[in-house]
Amino acid sequence: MNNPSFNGLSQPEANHIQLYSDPELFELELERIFYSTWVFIAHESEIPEPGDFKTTFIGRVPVLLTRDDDSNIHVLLNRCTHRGATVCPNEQGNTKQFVCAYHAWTYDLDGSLNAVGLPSGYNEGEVDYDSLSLQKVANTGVYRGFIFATMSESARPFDEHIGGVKKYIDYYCDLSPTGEITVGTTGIYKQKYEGNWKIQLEGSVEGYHVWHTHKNAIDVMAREVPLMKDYPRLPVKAYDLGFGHNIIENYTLTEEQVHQRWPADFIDSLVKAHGRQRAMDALKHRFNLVIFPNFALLEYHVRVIRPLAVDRTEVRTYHTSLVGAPEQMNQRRVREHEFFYGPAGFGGPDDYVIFDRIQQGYDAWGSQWVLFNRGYKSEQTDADGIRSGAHTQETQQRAPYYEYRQLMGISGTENKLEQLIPGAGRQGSQ
Amino acid sequence: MMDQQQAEQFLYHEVRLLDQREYLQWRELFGSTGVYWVPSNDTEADPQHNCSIIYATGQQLDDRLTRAGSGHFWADQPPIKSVHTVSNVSIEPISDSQVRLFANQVIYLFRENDQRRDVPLEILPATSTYTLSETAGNWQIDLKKLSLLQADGYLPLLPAFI
Repeated sequence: MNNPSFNGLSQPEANHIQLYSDPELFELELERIFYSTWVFIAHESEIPEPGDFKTTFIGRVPVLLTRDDDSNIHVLLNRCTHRGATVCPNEQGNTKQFVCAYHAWTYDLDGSLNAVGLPSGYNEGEVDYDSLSLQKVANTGVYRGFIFATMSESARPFDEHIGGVKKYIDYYCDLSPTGEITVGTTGIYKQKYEGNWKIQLEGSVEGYHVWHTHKNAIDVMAREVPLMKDYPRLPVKAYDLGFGHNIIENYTLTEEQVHQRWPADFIDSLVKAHGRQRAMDALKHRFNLVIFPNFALLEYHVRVIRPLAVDRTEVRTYHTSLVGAPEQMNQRRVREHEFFYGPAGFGGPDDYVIFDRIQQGYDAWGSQWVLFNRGYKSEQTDADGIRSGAHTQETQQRAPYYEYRQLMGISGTENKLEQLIPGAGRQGSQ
Repeated sequence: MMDQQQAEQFLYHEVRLLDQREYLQWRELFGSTGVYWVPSNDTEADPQHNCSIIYATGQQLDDRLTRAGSGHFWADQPPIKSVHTVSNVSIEPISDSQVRLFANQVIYLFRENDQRRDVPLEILPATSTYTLSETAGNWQIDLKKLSLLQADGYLPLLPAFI
């Protein structure tokens, strides 16, 4: 498993620029991360009806997600088992079957091959329908409608993999009186940036930049949510949830603030549906959650990160709506999401231009380390092994790399920052 | 009523203000109730229930104006320059003092003087619909809807107003 040329490139307090700029290492990431662990595929609400389908990717692999006539979900490789063309060219839609455009090989919604073109040209035994279904991924797992898949038989059990993040997914979905959300049906921003995929992974839980990079947005948001003015000083934390997953709390409202923030009838509907405790948990907690390696859940959207090349990444922002919530709540979620995100939002574009600039900066090889040491020395570890720090520190960005180093087989990772950069850390804390 | 030449002149003036970054003057065309709408994904979807690229009126337009001049609009540093060309203009009268205009637009965006030096020229073809109202000889925008051909595709980072 070990690849000696990459040893030492990821350390507890810093990553080497090669981790973000080496095409060979990128290929190894696809193999050892995207084709080995659990990857987010889609949400069930994107394919609500029998016959609905959606295409997406696991790493570079084109994938077809379908719902069959019995409402079962299938994650299939979008590749005809004859000559290999993708059998479905659309992003989403509804169909009874998939007919390959080349020789009319025809597949059912569960991927089974039910017909081939001009079948009489095949002799007995030349086409074995049973073994020529669309290939399925090795395994799928679903939690509260979020569908994950893995290409590897040896990925850890799904329940174990997401055990530490379930609580937060519950908070998120319980903001709906029915406990259900829709993902992407009310808008998807589709963007690319000229930088490595891990920059967005780290950037999805970035508490340190908010007050500066997003000053425009904060100024406007503080009119509605005054505590945003004090963002850097809020008493909230960030956590390493294990297996590379992590979370940053944005703000946690008191019960009084909950009543200021949300209309009374909405609060009542949640209390009635879920009971007081669950309703308040959902109403109080605002956070960004990262599920390693390609998924983030933010206040109003699901973010999906797709690596295209070592220096090129696609990010899709799927807006979420609350099933059963008052119409004005969901309209507000539309306005507040589009305010910040998308190519003309008040926040997102500034992040992407910075991601581009970070990638450009890796070419300045005279300076070789990307630092994540903020708050390392004061980081807490609780009895369950959960690491935590203040939200503007970098515990949450160090978190993915414990899992990353494991999956990538990168050793030689016990160097202190002072050993990597002579003199670093000498000036004390600030 | 507005004749063909007046309609064309109005649109030329409106997009020239954008290209010259005379945003304050441009914003004044919308008054306090005009809506500036750039839909995302399905350009026919209801903007109250679906996210747009921009859906702004009143205070939201003022906030964009503030952002444009704030020094914290990092995606616009160095500034994104634009050229708009407008064509295929047609007029649909609504009443004596209201018209709807249809026009095609091609918007070119370019960020020069970037350290990368090879920032691509972005070309954004679009259809546009304007609803205009006249008071005392002045035409104001009730609605500008700009439907980008790539509304459901990848878009470059955009200036405050496009």
